[in-house]
Amino acid sequence: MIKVVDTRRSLALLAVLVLGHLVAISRQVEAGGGGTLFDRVLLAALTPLSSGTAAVVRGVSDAWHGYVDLRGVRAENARLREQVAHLELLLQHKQDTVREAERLQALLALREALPLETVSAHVVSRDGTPWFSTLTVDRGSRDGIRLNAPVLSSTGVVGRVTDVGPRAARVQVVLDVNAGIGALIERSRVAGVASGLVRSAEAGRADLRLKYVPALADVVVGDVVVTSGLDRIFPRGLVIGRVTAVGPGSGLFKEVAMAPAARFESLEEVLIATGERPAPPVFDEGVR
Amino acid sequence: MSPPLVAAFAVLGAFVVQSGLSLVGPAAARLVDPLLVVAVVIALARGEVWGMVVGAAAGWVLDAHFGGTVLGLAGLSRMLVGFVVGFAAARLLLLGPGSRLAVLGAATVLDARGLEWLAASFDVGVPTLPALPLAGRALLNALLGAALYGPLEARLRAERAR
Repeated sequence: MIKVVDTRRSLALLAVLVLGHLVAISRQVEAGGGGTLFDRVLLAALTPLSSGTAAVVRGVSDAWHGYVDLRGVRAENARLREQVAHLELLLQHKQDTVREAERLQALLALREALPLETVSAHVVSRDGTPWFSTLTVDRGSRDGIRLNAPVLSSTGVVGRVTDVGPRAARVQVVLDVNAGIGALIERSRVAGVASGLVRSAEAGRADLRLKYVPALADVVVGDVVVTSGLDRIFPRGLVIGRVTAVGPGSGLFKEVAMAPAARFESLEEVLIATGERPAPPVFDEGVR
Repeated sequence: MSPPLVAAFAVLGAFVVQSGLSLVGPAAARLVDPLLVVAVVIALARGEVWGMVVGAAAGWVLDAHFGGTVLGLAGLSRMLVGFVVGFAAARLLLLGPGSRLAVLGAATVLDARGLEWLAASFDVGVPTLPALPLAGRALLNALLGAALYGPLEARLRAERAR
């Protein structure tokens, strides 16, 4: 009897929770997804933990690489162990600094070339599931980040902001099957839509496809694909990737596969657009 | 420490591990799912109510941090998995390590296919996880879950003895 009452109670709880979930999901689907107060609260609550984890992982990773390097030096230079270890660590620190400076310099160059106001952000977590390609960054609405803001790296387009908390934002990367960016073949100006490949659920795949390319269009392997600006999210002319395969496809369109220009597996810093850069003042000829 | 607090810490711990894995190697983060494992292990040990509550919490944490544009899909999927596992564990004799491994593996498959089905129902595009990576994910989750079940079982025995 007790078991029956228990089962009824747990089934009732299950029904309430299922109904709650269905309502929550349906409301988001109706609203076009992203940006609810609950999302923002959850994102804001989880990000400090994730940022802490990122700091610990970076620390452990640095220590581990230092240890591995130290072991290599030890085998070659037993007599000079202490000195070499010290120099090796110093050198590694300098190399890290140089690499970071190079990355930041590349970002700065991009920032100056863009017609957009941008802020830089650190990546604090990447893909955690096989179903969605997202990453979380440590900048949010307090830094001027808005929903749908373009996210860029020094090598290419990364994605767009889909959820914003006060100090963090979630980014849907272009590899996601739900992502779509207005794109152009730079050489022939053929238009299409760049999106993630369905196959990307296979661990480690990082491919894109260019959809809706007419069957007779001029596209060859090696063509550079850039943003067209037609989606009104990304400014035109940013590199998305390079064509790696062109097939006949079915019906009216070609099958075009692309490799992304952004290096997603090693992405540490990104630029996020916060608005359009004001145009320089135009002076009247008479004034000049 | 009270059982709800232990469960909350377990979910947060699993989130930290998942977040760390995503930075060290995203491929590894796609192959193992500590948040699902925690929900299934707690459902196995404590029954369907704990299973569905911890499953929903673990799913929402995953949705909020790693999910797509529509949140709650993993929350609903994992809540149902937690309920099914807890319901089965309370009524069937899932005592041996072999049956626990099988349940953890089956829960991984159920969660994956459930999430894909729910996503399709709500018109959210998600890729279908192919059979081989899914089998690998199920195996790794089962091994991780079996390793976690030992300490939890010892704690349950101590609780019952009191």
